Amino acid sequence: MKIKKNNKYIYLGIGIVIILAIISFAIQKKEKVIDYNTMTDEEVQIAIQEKIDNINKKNLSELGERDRMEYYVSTFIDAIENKQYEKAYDMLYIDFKNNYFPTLSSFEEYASTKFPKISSLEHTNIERNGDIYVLWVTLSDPLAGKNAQVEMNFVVQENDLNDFVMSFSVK
Amino acid sequence: MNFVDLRLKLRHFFKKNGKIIIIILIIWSSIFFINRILKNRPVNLTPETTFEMHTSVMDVSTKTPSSLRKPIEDVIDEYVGYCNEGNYQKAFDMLSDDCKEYEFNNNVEDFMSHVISKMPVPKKYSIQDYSNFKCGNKTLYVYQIKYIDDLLATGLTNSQYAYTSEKLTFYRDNNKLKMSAGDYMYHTDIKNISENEYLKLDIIDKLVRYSTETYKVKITNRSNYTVVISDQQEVDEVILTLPNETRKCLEVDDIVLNPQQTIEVEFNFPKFADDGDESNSIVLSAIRVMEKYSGTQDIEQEIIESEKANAISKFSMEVKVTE
Repeated sequence: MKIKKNNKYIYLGIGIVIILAIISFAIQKKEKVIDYNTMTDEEVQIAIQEKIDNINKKNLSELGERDRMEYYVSTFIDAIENKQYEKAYDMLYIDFKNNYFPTLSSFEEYASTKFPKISSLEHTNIERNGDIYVLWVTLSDPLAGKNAQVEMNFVVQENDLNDFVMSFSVK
Repeated sequence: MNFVDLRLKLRHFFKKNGKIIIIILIIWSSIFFINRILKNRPVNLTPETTFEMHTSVMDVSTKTPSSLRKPIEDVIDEYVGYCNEGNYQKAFDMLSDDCKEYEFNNNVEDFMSHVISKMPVPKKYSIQDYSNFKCGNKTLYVYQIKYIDDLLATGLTNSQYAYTSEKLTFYRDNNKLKMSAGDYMYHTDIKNISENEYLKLDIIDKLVRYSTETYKVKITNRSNYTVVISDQQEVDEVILTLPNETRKCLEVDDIVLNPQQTIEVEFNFPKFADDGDESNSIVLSAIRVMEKYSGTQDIEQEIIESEKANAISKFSMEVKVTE
């Protein structure tokens, strides 16, 4: 059977469309279905945390570097506010910890007394030096009046999205 | 129009335009599926920053070639390492011969003073490609290096955010990477002369740093009178001419030559090495040949003016600074 030359191109075009359709369905993103019923409590916690981390990473990837740095600082402050001192301690740079807070209890003692109980953050300035960011932050407790304001510097190094180390000016 | 007519018309339309419709459908479907493939492709999430170490700040369209990036980073790391260790001789040995000679007088102690002024204690550093420009047949890659304390280790506790900086310049010479420090860019011998019956000007050389040009000039007084080149009594006594503007000399000392005296002076002008302008000439615009000259320090203005009025000759001289 002879196929007209024009028709040949049309069949070729249809063929290409079919191939593209197959590829597009093959690489279609599939939400990983997790069956929580078969998991232990610990595994569920890990799976949920992983999910939260992925959402955080995706959200962070859409932010500019200034917003990301401010987010990291507020994460640290939130942890202190919620008395999750170990979580906050883990965010600190190792040499900074060695210099000022060699133990978790020394950090806990400092954080519980020097940081406001409820913090409102005002980011006044940010500077970048290579891969190090310096932030000027005013922390204030809205319930304690103007005198409760604390001006601090935070120094942040971002290794990857939501993967960072930091330090702050110790008063 | 009844149903049969409509059916016939539609049939006629599709018979006539069927191929075109199929082609349009093929194109539309292709775009649809390609778009779907691109949207669903796995994305590697990485933090986006404005920090591009090897893109020039002065002209973002120019970048250091990939083949030079790692070598430059390695050389800087080694250089700062030696400086931090106090191993000044090894750091000095890393510099290009002309930088050693013209910026540091081939003297490691001059270099040491320079390093200590920038980093009196061991420092961390960050680098940024600042400017890339052609100089003769070579391209200069100018990096700004900032020396800074270990901020992460201190969190700026009891300290202010501060840093020192300088320009480190790189170029390829016979496939070897050469480095200069101290804002030094390049040096050229000029050997241009301008003379008249009173004075001879001899431009010896030009030293180009990132933001200045420094000319070494030999001035000979051929007369038997005192010749005043500069004593702050006239405006713009020493200027550098560019194609469309002039630049005043930075910090000119009094330049007064006794009869038959020869001196060597340095004129330092503000000029960025990468501004694309070529300097044309140095103009000494208020030269005075004096019958009597008492100087200007602790001398009444009236006497100064009187001596100026009695000058034997007043003139300006220009000497080209192009090779």
